[in-house]
Amino acid sequence: MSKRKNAILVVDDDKSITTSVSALLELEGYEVDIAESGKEAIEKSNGKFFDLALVDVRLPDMLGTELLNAMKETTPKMAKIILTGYPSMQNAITAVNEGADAFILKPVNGDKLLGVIKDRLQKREAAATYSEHRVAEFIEARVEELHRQNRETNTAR
Amino acid sequence: MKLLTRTIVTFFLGTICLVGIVHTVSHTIILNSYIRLENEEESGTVQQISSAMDNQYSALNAKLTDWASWDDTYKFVQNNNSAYIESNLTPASLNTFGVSYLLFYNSTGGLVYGIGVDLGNSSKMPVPQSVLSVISATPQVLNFPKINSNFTGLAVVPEGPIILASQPILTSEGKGPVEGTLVFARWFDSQYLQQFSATTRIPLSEELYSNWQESNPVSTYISIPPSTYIHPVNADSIAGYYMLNDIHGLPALVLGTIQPRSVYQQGLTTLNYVDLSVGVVCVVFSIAMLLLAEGFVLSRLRKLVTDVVSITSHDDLSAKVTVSGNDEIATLSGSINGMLGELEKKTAQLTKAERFSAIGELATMVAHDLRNPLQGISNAAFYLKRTKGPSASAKEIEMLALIEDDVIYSDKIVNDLLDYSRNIRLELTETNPRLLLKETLSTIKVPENVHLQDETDDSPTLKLDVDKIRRTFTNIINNAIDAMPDGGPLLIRARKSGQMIDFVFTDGGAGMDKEVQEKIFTPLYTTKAKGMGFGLSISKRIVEAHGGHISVESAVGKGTTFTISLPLNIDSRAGENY
Repeated sequence: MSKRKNAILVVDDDKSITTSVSALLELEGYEVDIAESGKEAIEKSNGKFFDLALVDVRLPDMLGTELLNAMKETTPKMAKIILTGYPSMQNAITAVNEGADAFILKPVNGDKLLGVIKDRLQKREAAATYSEHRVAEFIEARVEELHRQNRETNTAR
Repeated sequence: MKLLTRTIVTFFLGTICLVGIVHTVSHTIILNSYIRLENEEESGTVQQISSAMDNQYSALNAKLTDWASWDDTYKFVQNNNSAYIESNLTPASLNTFGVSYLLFYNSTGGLVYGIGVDLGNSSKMPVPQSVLSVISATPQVLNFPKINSNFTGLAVVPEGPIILASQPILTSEGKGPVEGTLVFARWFDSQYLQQFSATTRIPLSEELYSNWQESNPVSTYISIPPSTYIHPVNADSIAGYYMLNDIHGLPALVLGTIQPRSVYQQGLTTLNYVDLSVGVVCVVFSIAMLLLAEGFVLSRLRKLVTDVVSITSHDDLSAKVTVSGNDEIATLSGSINGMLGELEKKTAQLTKAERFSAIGELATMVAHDLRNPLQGISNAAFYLKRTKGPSASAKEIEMLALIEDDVIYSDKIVNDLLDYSRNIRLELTETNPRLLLKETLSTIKVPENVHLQDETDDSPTLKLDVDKIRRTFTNIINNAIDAMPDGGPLLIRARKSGQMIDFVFTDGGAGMDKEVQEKIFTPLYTTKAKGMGFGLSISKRIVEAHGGHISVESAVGKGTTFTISLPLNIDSRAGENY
């Protein structure tokens, strides 16, 4: 089965960030979409599934952490990484509480940024595979059970 | 009330009290002495009256003896011959004699002959019945226990007081048998009193006791021997009284004399001098005390107040108040100066803190905003490195690496700036010098040509913010390494000095001149092309936040020694306002 390209949503109102980050990500073979505000990010994530979102803490219409909170319900399977130039303990705690998978301080070197993204995607994929495997096992076991019950019923007759 | 006013009022009231007390005491003591003296003097006068009265009686008795012990009288009482009367008992002779009545009684008490004379005009005068009654009613006048006895006394009859003197009538040789009694009587009238006063040279007045008693309520005094009574009439005169008893032994007549109170007046004069001198002394003393208080205390306090007010109004905490002498005011002035110094220090700290806070806000904004473009540059360089890859020329690769390095360096400046502008909050943990240095060195790459010599010990135990002090140490060690591009020694020692521990970093580097040494702790000052600019100033702030201090000694060409002194016991409040 040919592997689907991972889709990444970059949420930042700074053009130099969105342009340069998306160039790097595309270079790595990711499918990249850009949202320049929290509202745009919510709309785009509702319309399409993204494997990962790279979110700036300061957005023109809301805080990155608020955006995380808003997307928690709608896109639970999406990995979320906060990228910020304003590190503070409170920001980090809020980010983790709102379901961020990583917290990266600007400026980050390209290797490291790509490394963290790759790592997060792999972990997510592993988890997904694991749960798919568990579902398959469960279904198989259940089918087997039903078969057994069916046979036993027939025999009893 | 101002202190000076209060002092003056206090001194004034004190002086008045003092004068009052001295006045009262001296009056009580001194005036009493004078009054006693006056009484003694007046008593003497009264005593003189008493003696004079006795003399009067004696003189009368002597005259009486001349008449009573005389053969002619002896015969006259026996036969009442008219020749005796004619030759002796004329009013003129009686007048010369100074006797009002001459009464001849026989041995049985019958009146043989009686003659009276008005001593004023020498005319004959009948003997009043009242006088005769008193004589006959008084046995001791006519009856004598012995032939040489006599009697003198005072009787009061309705006409007035009268002196009585009697003797038995004897022969000229003074022998008996007693043929009768001769009685002399003399009115105690104003004329008599005048004579008496002239004799005694004492101005006298007379008054019947009964009358006198009415006007002198304290008359009981006089009934007690020595029958004298003295009392001041007013401030100028004093009265002395002498009481004469009548023939029955009852108080009858009072002789009084009014004397000027010269002794008492002398006493008053003395007291006035005492009051005056005490007053003058008090006034002089008060003025002297006021001048002393003014000179030693008040003027200096005012000066102090002026100084303090001036300092307050000029808002110049570096000014000091004048300290003179070494008394309490000097101590106070010194304390005020100390307080001013402390205030100046704290104000400077506060100003510094406020300035840092303002710089900090701006720096934080700028620094954060710089991070986004840095991220863009970093990404762009990374992209080019990836896409150009092996096809890039060596120069292009070098340029890309340069961009990446400068992004890293810019990021470091941003971080330093943020660090520097941030308030320092200490998180104290326990460590020791050796451990602290070991942890510091673990993150530093010391070039091989630098010979690092660690002479620290694992005691004493220190309590400090390990991360921040490590940054400080790192900074200084890195500076030392940078100062020795061709290698050299780096000696690190720790030594206890009182309540402080000194970390001494000595390198054998290029050293610095005085000018550089003065500026190295200033933010953004650097001697390096790519200096940190903030490193030493942050280090200084960290050390000072611990309550310590950092100093440098250096000579060009000989190397540099940094000394970081940290207190062994850090105040838990350390770090506030930094």
